Amino acid sequence: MVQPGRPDTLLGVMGLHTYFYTYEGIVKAVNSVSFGLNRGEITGLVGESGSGKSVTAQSIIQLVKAPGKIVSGEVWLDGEDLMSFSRDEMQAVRGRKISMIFQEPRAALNPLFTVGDQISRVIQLREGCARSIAESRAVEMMRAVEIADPERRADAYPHELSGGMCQRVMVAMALSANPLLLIADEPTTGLDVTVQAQVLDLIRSRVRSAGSACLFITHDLGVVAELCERVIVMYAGRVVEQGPVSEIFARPRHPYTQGLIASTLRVDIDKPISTIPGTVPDAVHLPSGCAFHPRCPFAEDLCQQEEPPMVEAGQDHVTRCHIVSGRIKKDMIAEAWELESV
Amino acid sequence: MSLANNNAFIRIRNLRKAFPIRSGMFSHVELRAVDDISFDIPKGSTMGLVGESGCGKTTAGRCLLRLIEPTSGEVWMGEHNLTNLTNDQVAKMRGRMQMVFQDPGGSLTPRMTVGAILREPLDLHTNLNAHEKDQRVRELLSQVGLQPDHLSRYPHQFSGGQQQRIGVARAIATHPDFIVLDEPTSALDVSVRGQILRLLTQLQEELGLTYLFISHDLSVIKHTCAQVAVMYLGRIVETGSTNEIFDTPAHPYTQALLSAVPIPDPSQRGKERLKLPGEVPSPIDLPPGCRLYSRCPYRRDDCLQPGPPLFHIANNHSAACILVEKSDLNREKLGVSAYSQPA
Repeated sequence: MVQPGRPDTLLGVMGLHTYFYTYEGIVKAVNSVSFGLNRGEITGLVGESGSGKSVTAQSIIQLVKAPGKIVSGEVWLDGEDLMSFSRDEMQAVRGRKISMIFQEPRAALNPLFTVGDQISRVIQLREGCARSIAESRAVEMMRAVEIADPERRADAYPHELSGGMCQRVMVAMALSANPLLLIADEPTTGLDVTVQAQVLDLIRSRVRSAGSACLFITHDLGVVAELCERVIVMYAGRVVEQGPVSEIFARPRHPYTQGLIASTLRVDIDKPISTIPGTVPDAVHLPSGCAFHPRCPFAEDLCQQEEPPMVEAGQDHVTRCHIVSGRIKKDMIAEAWELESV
Repeated sequence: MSLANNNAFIRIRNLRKAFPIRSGMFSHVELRAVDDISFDIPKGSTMGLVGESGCGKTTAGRCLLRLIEPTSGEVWMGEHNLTNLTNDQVAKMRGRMQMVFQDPGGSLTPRMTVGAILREPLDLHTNLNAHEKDQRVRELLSQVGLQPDHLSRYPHQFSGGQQQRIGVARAIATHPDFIVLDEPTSALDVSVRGQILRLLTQLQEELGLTYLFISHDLSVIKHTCAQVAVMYLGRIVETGSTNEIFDTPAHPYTQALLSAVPIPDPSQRGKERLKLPGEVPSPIDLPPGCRLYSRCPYRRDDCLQPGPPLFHIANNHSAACILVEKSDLNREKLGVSAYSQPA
């Protein structure tokens, strides 16, 4: 699946394990995660809260907060092994080669500086240009993310702007560095849909034209379907399915992916409200075997006993499921989700 | 929208809420958060109030319950004009009208057990004795799908979905007639959201509840509401049955809102959209005409005239757009040209 040797692979993540050592026990937030990101492509990383999406992103840029720790794994960016980098070398990667847009824009911005100041510092740092040039470029970037009246807004402090406006500033800041890899952690969560559409357009056109790669973390399958070429589905710290978006939406093979698609409400068609029964499991006490088995309508004894390995499910499409691998002979019927909903 | 709707349980008439804002030492301007909205909700039905942040939907919901005082207008619940009641009278009515909040964790007191949280409304609004209260609390728990042993736990020991179940249990504790649901599922995971929506629908059927469902999420509104009102900058720009609003949206704003929602189907990618440039302008000191004027692709000079009011289209479907009134763009035509409009 992961082919770091592929010429268009920009980022290769292999066997990544990030654990949190808490009083209650070890939380395997990222458990044996492997994937590759291609240049010019946007890859969606989907999962519910606590599935390990954000920690995966933090592991790539090595900003996992204590008590979290990257236990093992490899991260290759553009032919370089990031895990072998020193702190200083990593600091040089962040913001230049890899930019990140965080989930909480207000927490990510410095409250003591104006937003124009913060964007122009990024530009100055990267380009080494004069302050006045950086400042005018910052205003340009703010205009590019469709902040109305950017000249005036550049002098505003984060607390003076709305949450949506702060997120635009974050996008402007991340894109101003022209990064090789853009990691966007739920960048449009909390934005209005009409504004979300604009921000998605902006990210799409920037990634395409710059030939950079983008890891787009979201819980919204609609956004994935509209924006991404590939999708990685995570559940309880593991990648349960990954492949091309067109393939996964047309033929989801893992029961969790199926349930997620079934429970996504749509504005364009009428369908009954389906849900996945139960709740996301407690991270310290994960269920044995396949972590999804208590919520899975197709689960058998084997699913409880043995963790399924990653198997081929189609062209460039892999999943972890005993039914797909053929260990359990069973048909997964789509109606199971509808029946579940009655 | 017919104002002579006799089976309406909740009737809102010309509701306004303006917040004064200091603009200088002696000058004040107004932020009209809710600007002359009227609608009816039939008994046992769900009305969706949809719009983007800052459109006034939450303010409207709170004015309805008099959690904040409306500037003017009337709110009727059955035979009661809530806007004429004194504060004491409103407090007595609270048991009949409740609210479920967006942030399930934040809306539950962290230092109270679930049992205490559910008993509080019973203490305030009922004359039940201790034993009856205990019984009622247990009944509530089972109604929302929680276990009796959850009673002695604290809110943080529950997942978001379970916390919202507690919020719903608290809201229905005093047998209310009317509940304002303010983004009840926005903070929940996709797989859990459906469970809460189904719980709300089920309780509505069992208890004959009337809901005002406030949300920015059109897909949730589509699946839960019979009627919808779309708000933009304090005004209702379009209202009608859910099917009409979603199948034949008439107002350019509704069309843009609908076309901006991502469709979870990659084969539909690249469909043409009606995009609104820019963003919602500041709600302070708005010009008299159509609120969408600054962003509307169909704008013309007439749009700057005061108004526009809601124009009737069909059944109870109406939209506040002069193009609808003049019908020089009929709905089909508006739909077609909408999607060929460049951003």
